Amino acid sequence: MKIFREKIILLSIAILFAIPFTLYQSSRVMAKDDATAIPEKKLKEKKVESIVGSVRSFWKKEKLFYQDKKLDYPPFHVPSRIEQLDMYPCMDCHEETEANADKERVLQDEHENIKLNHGGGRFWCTTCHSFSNRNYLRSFKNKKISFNESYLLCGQCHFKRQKDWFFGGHGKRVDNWNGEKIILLCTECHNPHSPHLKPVAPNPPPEKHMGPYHQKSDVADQSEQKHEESTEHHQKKMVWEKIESNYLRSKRNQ
Amino acid sequence: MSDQKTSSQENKKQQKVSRRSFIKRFGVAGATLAAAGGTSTAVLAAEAAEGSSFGDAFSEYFQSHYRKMTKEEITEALARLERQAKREWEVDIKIEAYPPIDNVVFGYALNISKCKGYRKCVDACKVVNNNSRDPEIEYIRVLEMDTDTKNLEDSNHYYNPKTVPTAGKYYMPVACHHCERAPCVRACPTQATWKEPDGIVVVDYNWCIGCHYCVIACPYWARRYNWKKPSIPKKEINTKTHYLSNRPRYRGVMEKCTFCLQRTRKGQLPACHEACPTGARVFGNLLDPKSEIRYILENKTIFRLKEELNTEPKFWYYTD
Amino acid sequence: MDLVNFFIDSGKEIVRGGKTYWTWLGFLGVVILAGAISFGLQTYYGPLATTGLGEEIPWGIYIANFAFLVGVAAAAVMLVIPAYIFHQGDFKSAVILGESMAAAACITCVTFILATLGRPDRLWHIMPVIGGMNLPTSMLAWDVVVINGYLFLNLLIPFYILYTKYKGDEPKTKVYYPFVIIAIIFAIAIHTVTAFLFSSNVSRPFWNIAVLAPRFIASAFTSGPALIILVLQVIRAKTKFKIDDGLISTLAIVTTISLQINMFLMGSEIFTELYSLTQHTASIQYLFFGIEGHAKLVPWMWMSLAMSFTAVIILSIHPLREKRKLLNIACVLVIIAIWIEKGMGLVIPGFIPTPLGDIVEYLPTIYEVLTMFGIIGIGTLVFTILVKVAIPIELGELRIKKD
Repeated sequence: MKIFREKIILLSIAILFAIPFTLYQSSRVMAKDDATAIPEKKLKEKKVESIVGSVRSFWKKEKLFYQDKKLDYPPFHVPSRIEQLDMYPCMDCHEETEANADKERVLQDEHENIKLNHGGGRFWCTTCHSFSNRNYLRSFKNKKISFNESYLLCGQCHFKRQKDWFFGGHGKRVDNWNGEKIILLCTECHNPHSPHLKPVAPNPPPEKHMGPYHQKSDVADQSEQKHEESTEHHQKKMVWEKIESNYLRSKRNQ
Repeated sequence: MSDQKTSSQENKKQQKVSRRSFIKRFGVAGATLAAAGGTSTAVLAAEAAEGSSFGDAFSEYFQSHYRKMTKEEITEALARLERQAKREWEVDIKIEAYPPIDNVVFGYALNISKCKGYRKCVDACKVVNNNSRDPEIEYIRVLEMDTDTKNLEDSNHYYNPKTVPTAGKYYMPVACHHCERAPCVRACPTQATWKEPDGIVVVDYNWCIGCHYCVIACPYWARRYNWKKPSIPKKEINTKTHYLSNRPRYRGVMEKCTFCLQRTRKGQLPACHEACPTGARVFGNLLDPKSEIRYILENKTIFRLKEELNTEPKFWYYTD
Repeated sequence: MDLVNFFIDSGKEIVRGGKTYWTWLGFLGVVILAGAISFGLQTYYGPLATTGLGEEIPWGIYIANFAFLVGVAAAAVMLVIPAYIFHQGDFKSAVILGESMAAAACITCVTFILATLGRPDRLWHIMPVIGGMNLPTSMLAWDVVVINGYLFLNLLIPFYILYTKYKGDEPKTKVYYPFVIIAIIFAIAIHTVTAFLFSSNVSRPFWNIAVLAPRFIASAFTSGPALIILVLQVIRAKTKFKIDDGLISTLAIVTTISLQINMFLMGSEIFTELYSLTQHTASIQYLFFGIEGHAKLVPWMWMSLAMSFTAVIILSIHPLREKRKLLNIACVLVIIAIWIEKGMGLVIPGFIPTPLGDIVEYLPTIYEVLTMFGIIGIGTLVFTILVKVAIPIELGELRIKKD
């Protein structure tokens, strides 16, 4: 009886500590649109984590996203993505459309301009977009991610990039270098359906001041010539080619 | 007696003749030299003092070195410069002289895996800094390099393909690196260029004599010179200027990238940073341990150009 | 006032001359006028349109001439040292001429620098107390100090000697001897500081070599005495001034030995740089072989080498050196060869390739060449005037009129 009583006491203490923790996590899920409240929550989490040491590992399964304890990224803001989406809220249409499960098909009625070129054929729309609520994106664990926090989605695979992005090694900070940190979301630069950046025409090359002996057309000739030269140069300079020819020559001389 | 008289008369005549010819010849030679020398000086002085009243031109000529001026003198000088700029460019230009922010030393990093060679930074810099369009002055020079080399001598400055990036190339924009041990600061004979407390190497355009020695000393080819009076289209003149950076400049003085100090000393980002579409540029305060630039210096593979020259530049290149 | 009379009499002496003298002055006047007009045009249209200069090549033929003429100025000391240190009598007579040449060369150097400055109207900024002279670290500031000091000394010492002789007294050795020693030190200083002006730049590996200062001194002591030999012969022919043959022979020996040393130093530099063919030696490859099709200076450099070789052969062989005609030819060859090697062949390749690897070539335009001749004409005019006053005083013809 004594042992049983002890077990009940331990279990009730555990439940007492677990309830606020679960409530806190679920409140976090609901407040997904607020992208700026992270540092305070992180502080609170830390406090909570430090108290519930062993229980944390049990609740880690319920934790939404990977959070390295060592990551102490500075707080930041992002410009809203939702305001740029002209078809948002998506549920205006998708409330009434048929749910088509995960079957891959050609988009005919709507969104036919979207060509999915991300994932090498391993992805489909509902890999990233929440099946039940199209106003949100989804994580691998089917938790909802707001469009304003899309970095949490991209960071599931591109976690190294995400770490760099948190700390400033990737992505672009705008407006100021001190004060409120505002950085651009992934989707400001990368089209999530076809993320590879397309080549763009460059701005014109600099003028070459060559004195009155040269014509301005020399520059154009020069740049193209240099381009060809440099590609030739590149081909000639291929390190292994030179080494290969040295090797063949010495072999012939043997 | 008469012989003596005639000889003395002849002597006097000779003296008169020689004096006349003296005056004639020296007069002609002196006048020519004076005319030629005077024309050149007059042209330069007229251009320098173009449109300004005599008082303004006088005070401009005798203006002291910026670092030796008191606050009142600087305010007076700024007002005078604004008047002169208004006369010359017909636009109301504001010239300020706000000091550096405390506990800030600027650093800049550029991701060469990200730079695609668009040259958007080059053009944004030109517009924000009131650079001359003809002759064209661009502070940033983007180098197209083969991916298998770091040799600057194989770089191509004038690449102009249909689209960038070209396969097998990487792109490295180079502007002033604001070295801690800047060779240009040591070389300038009049101390017209110096390093400010926030790390930016600046030029006082009213002190520079245009001897080009700093161009020769700089290992990164970062200094530019105004061979002619700068020409800026009136509509594109940026009216928010700083004495040490982007105010409209004169013929015959040196200039260079100033990390957009008119913007960065107010907390904004440099123009090249704002213009870069790929987010390859990272700017910040090297003394702040939480800044992005510090993260890159601590966590990324970084290098600086010509590091063996020990110039300690504050512009790093890094890769993903 | 003796001083006023001195200047008045000098003025009279300057304008007294025969047909040759006035033809010479007229020729110089035309050259100077052409130079002044072309410099005015250069200023008006801007250097970009009228010269070969540009962002990549900030210094051109003006500084090339500056480097060469600083050597000529320094080499006037070649006459001063034997005269005052070794007390060789036949040199003493020609010292005034040497110092006049040094002063004229200094004035020419200063004018060349003024021609290449962007804002010569702001020259007071370089002064020590009223301006902002950057003394310990800036080599250009040191150059301003030593060149002006040398110019001042080279006007002071002859002025003292000529003035005392004009008054009929003997110049006191005790008075001017210390200044002579200082002038000798300054002579070596001006050329060394000019060499340091180039060699202190780590951004230009072609110049950043230790042997640049010895090369400068060696080539200065080659081209300076060669020029002095030619000028002394002209003066001997045109005026009554006596110049010893021994003086010219000694100067020829100085030229020979300096030329041999200069060729050795140049040879060692060429070997060191062309043996390894690293990226830092791109400039010397450009000079002698051209890079990537850019080869505008290649024929000039080979010509200069050929001239040096010919001159050194003529000068090293004693019987050939004794023949005046061959000596004169050798001197002309030496001057042109050293001008190319130390002037254009030193200043321009320092900018090719640029620190970022760009290659922009440079050739002087007609405006620059005319301005260059104009400024050299100014120097020659100054030399002519100084010598025109000095020779009669030395010969005893021009003396103060005692009433």
